[in-house]
Amino acid sequence: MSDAVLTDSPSSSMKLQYSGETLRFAGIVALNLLLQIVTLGIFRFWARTRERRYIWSNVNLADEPLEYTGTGMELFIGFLIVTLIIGPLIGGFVFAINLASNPILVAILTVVYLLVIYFLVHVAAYRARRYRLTRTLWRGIRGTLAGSSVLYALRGLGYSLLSVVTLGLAVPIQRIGLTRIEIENMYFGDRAFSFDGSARGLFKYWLVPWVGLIALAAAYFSFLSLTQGLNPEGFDRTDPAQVEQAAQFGQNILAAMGYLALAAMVYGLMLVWYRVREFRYLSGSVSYEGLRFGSSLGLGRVIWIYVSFVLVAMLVGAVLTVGLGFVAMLSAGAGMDPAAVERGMEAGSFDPDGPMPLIMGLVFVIVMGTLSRVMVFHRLVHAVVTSLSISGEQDFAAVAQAVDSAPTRGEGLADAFDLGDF
Amino acid sequence: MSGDGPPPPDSADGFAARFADGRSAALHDVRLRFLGDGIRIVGPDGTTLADWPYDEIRVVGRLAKDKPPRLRSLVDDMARLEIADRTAFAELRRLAPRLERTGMRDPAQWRRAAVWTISLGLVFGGLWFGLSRSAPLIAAAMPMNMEQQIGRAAVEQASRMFSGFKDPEAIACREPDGVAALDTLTGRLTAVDSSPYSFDVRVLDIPIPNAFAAPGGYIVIFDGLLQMAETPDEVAGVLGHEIAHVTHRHATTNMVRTIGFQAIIVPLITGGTMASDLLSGLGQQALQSSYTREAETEADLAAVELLKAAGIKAGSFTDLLSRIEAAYGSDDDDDVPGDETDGFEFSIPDMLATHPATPARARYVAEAAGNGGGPGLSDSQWQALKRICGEG
Repeated sequence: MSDAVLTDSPSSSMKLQYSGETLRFAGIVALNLLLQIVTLGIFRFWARTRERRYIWSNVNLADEPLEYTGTGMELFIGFLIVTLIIGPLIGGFVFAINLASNPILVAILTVVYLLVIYFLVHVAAYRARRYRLTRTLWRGIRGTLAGSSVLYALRGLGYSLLSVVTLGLAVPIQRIGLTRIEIENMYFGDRAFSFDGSARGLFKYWLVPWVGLIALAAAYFSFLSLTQGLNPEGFDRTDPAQVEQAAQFGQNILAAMGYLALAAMVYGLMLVWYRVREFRYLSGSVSYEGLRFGSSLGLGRVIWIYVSFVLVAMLVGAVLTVGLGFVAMLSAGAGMDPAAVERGMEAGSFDPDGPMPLIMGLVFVIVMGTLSRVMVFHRLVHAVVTSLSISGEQDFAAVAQAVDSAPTRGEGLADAFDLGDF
Repeated sequence: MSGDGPPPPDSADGFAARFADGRSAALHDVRLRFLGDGIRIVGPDGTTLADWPYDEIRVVGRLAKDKPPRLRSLVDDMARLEIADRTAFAELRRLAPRLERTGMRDPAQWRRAAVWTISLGLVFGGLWFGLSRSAPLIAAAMPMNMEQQIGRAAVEQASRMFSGFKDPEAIACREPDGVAALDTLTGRLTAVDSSPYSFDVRVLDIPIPNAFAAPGGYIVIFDGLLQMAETPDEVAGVLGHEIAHVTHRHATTNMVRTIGFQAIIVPLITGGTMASDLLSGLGQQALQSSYTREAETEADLAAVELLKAAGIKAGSFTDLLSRIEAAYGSDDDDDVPGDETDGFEFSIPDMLATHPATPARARYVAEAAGNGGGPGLSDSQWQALKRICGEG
């Protein structure tokens, strides 16, 4: 492990802090969801900006917060421009694929379409990264991302091809290769970050979920071969030996399904474990001038974030369903039209043409949407940020503002491919 | 932190604050002096680091109780000043009235917002318009065999849906005399039709009074419709209407339009958020109702022309519609099974739907039809057609 060694001296080591509060963030998310629904989605650019402003301003490094200087308008303008370029492109492909009758032609078109999309997704991710960095300020100095998004996307395609050809064994090469481009082109002020991670360092972690997947696939195929033994045609109900055999067979199938479900869960755990290890390894491979980054992100904490969300979501979902149903009954009963009550009683629901279903749907969507954003996304942000530490010394007075020109528009392409989680 | 520094300063010496000048990442412990027209930010060595006019100082983000206010200046975009001292900030608030003014109070911001909102309207208006205009062209450019392929699948699907998922082949009506009569009637109409389509007309043993056309020349009439018809020219009118749907490629155009709307316009506007279903539903309704009305009227008038050219009494099929409407009610739009994505046009529910209203239709059809024309089939042929699905 290359975890950054934390020294006791406060001058040479510092942890990042996060001071965001659950309720405040929930308020932002809930209002965002409502406004997005009301505006049929157009508000999403401003919604994203509001979220980022809050999160950035609560990330503290050496007692100084980050600041997000992007605006919803920039994102919106970027979206409009990309709409003009990507809209016709995707439209053409969608029509061609839907309308082509020759199956070979459909297959070729689909493959080309997916490749184009995959390429554009990489371009978009890189450009979105640049936008966010240029809109991130610390001590009045902003970041930036040099390099070419097209070259990045081409390399991304190449690495992906390599990963596919090697049945996933080359995934660490892909991850390290792309992360290297992302980090070494990343600037704070006029100085670049450095990256010294290696595919070899990541490989030992990646082997775990990789072997897990092979084992899972093997288990699945042996399960399939088990079901091949079924022969319902020749089954003789009167033959006790055959009945006995069938019962035994059914038990075997059930047991196999149980093992398969268990194996899938274990594989899921392996993946989460790998993601945590990968994040720690990649973070520990980043340095900036005299500073070395490190992360102590814990597996247990990440798993708990997901598990507790699932538990709470099930509970809240059940309470909401019952509660809203109760409100619906009351509203049907409170109406002036006795037929509506009767109808509502009979159907076990209420007047489907009234505004109630819409309002209740809205409440459900906003509550559950907020819950997942707060319990998963915001807690992950909290866990990731506070896991980061920086050691070493740096004379920040020597770091000057970058002189390159920041993009004037926001991540339009990334919006088109829904990459805007952050 | 400045709070740890020397004891509270007097106003002549200035208040303690932290300053990043936007040129380097150094953080300076500075003194803040209130001058007549602005604040002066003074470094530890007594040099002036910046002068900010009161009118141009703004709060960064929103003021929060638990965090010291951060300020920027309109002239010095990247520089940041943090004032932990409450008295100092209260003083600044008094002197700088525009401190908490957000960008949107600025008229230039509003102008920009207006320009881009209008652009958005134009872009999507253009997309919508382009889609509406290009849909008939794309439909027209589609090769016949592709249309037929879509049509076959649509007929299969719709037949199953109406019959309670029976095999369409098993419920196809095949009484030879009836088939011969249907072929005669179809032949009289296609003989005067100049389109390149050849038609596959069949009757299914389904008691619902309905008929539909699918792309590529497939027309399906349900036995329920034949049983409600009183004269062969009524059936001929429905047949002509369906033929017109096929030759004008209404269903095909509709399908192209729907794919375009759902696959391009909706995702672009909503960004795949949960508003997409809402917009999809609303927009689809708007699209459907406006274009269906147009298409139905067009098919009605084309049917009249076809019947007149074939020497069949052209105005009577609206009598059949009125009869069905009287028996089944008229405003059950919700009961239209499936949607037009599947590539077919359900005529009777469409005809019975509120647009265009049957009396109005009867009027313009009667006007276009005039008088004259025969029944289209002999009495014996008509009886055979009514029994195409067998007795009973």
